[in-house]
Amino acid sequence: MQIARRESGGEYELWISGRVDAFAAAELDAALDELARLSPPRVALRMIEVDFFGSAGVRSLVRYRKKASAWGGTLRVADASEPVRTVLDLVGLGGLCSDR
Amino acid sequence: MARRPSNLIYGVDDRPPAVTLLLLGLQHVSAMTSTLVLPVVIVASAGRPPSEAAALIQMSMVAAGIGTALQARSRGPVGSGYLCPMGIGPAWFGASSMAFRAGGAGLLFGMTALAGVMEALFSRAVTRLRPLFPPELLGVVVTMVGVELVVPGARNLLALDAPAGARGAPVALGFLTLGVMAAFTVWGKGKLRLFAMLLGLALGYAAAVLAGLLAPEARAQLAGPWFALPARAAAGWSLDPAYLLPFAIATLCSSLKGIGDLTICQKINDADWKRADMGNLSRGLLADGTANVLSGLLGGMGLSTFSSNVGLSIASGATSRVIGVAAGALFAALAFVPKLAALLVVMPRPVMGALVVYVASFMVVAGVQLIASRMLDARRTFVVGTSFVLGLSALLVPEAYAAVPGVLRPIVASSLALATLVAIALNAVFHLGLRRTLAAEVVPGPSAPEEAWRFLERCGAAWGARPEVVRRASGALTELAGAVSSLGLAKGPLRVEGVFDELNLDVAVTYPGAPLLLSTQRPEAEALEDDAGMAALAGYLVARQADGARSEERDGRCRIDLHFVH
Repeated sequence: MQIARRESGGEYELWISGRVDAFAAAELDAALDELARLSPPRVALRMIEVDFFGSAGVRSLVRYRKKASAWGGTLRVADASEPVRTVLDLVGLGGLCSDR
Repeated sequence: MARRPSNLIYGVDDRPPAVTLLLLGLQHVSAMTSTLVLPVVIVASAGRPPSEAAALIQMSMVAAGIGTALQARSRGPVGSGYLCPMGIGPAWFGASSMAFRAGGAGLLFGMTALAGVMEALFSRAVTRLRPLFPPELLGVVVTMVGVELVVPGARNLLALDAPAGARGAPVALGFLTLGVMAAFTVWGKGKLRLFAMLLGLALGYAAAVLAGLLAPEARAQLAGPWFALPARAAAGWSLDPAYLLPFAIATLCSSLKGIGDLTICQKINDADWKRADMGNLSRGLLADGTANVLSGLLGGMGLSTFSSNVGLSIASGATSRVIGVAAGALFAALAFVPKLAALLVVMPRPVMGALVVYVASFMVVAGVQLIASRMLDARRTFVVGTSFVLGLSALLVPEAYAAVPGVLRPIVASSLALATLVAIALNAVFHLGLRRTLAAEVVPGPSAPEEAWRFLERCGAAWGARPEVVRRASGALTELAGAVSSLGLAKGPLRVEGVFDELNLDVAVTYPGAPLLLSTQRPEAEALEDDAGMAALAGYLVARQADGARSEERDGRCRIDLHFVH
């Protein structure tokens, strides 16, 4: 899994590619934790190049969303590959996708 | 729910306005009349009076009309819910001719009703026969339906039955009609495209009248009454075991053609179509069988779904099932209005040829698309190619089958029947030894998800499996391998075995340790903070991505089976 960070209009974008599996999700946690310390913690995830997104990735998003909402921040999925959409829909987080 | 293709003007669930509906129904009725000449040929060749042909036509029209409406029903056990009109089926011609010659109309009626019962029974078994009818085989059937229209289409369009020196005008009439239909279909927008065939027919009739190309007897036929109750050609019904086999073969051919037509209906109404819905096909065939029982009881002959009408709905972009109800009602009603029915029966031969060529072209392309919907490996290539070659041989070198016994004549007399049976036989034979297995060992740890992912990628490439199915299977297996590794459930290596047989992809994972519990119940997001919550989420994602999943533990060894429909 690779993660690249950009800032655009006061929002941080995380460009993620590859597989977000049970072990690689730790990197996503670390990247999100780093953003959580910034103000305002407004994050957009770009996951169009993600081949696999599993339960550990879901936990990362749920954790970050909880932290961000406590601090007035936001989290959205700006674009998502089909596997990501499928998993987000299955776990009831499809609303995170901002194109819906 | 099926995603509506963007090229449709009226999709299967749409309801066109009343006038449009009437004209679309009429357009389909025009195509449904193309085989009304068959009873005339059967009766004439048996030396019986023409009134019996008229009676056969009228009763068949009533039954076909009811069958067409029944087919459009989307609820209950009878009817596919699609616009897939029925008419007198060429597949029944051989068996019906034999029965009529030998035992008169009574035997024809009895055997037709019995064939309807056979078709209804076949419809109940068809859901279990999916391995016998993969998409490429149905594609062969649909393409051959189009190919079989080549002879009647070209013969009439090119006026081959006209005297050698008098073909110019009929040929010009045929191409004018075809040109108008094609022009409105290709360049027409909205209503013009919807009614391309009707516009072509109207212009063809008008040009035929102006050029004096209407048949001499047309005037007399058009002078018939406006209303008359349909009559039976003979009282009563009879059965003869000697005709059981010809009618059984005709039933099989008609049913397979029905499967092909209904598969095309499914495909043209679903932008995401992947495989035939066998439950829907079963309901559609039951509607066909019911219509044939009715036809036999009323005093008509064998009915089949009409490929030309399916081609017409592709061409017009109108597949609404309500059009099926309208076309069925109009067709049945025409049996009570001899004057209007005669207007269709006297259709000039070149105009009819244009109509047949027009719809055949859409059928051929629809069949080729079905064939191309699967990756064609050596096995499929051989099934498709050989079926075509042998099927076409019935059309191009019929003398090769001169020595075939009479009882098998219906098979070799039809390129469709021959190609279909060859395709079914080859597909069944080549299915032997098709089950393929690959296995791997995955060591629990950080690389386990990636190893699992790579294993299924290798399997998918080696088997030529559909990418969508491989992606789901990879997702489920990667989740499983990651979860049992990261949560410490696996105490030793995971043995992963993939089995593929064209219709199913099964993955079995065994390992020593504690089981991952599978559930289709979504866990709460708040529960994700501990291992139990994560295991529940992983088990949920694995179970939901598979079409079937099972987990068991025995003597400290766990086994998880994942099933994917291919």
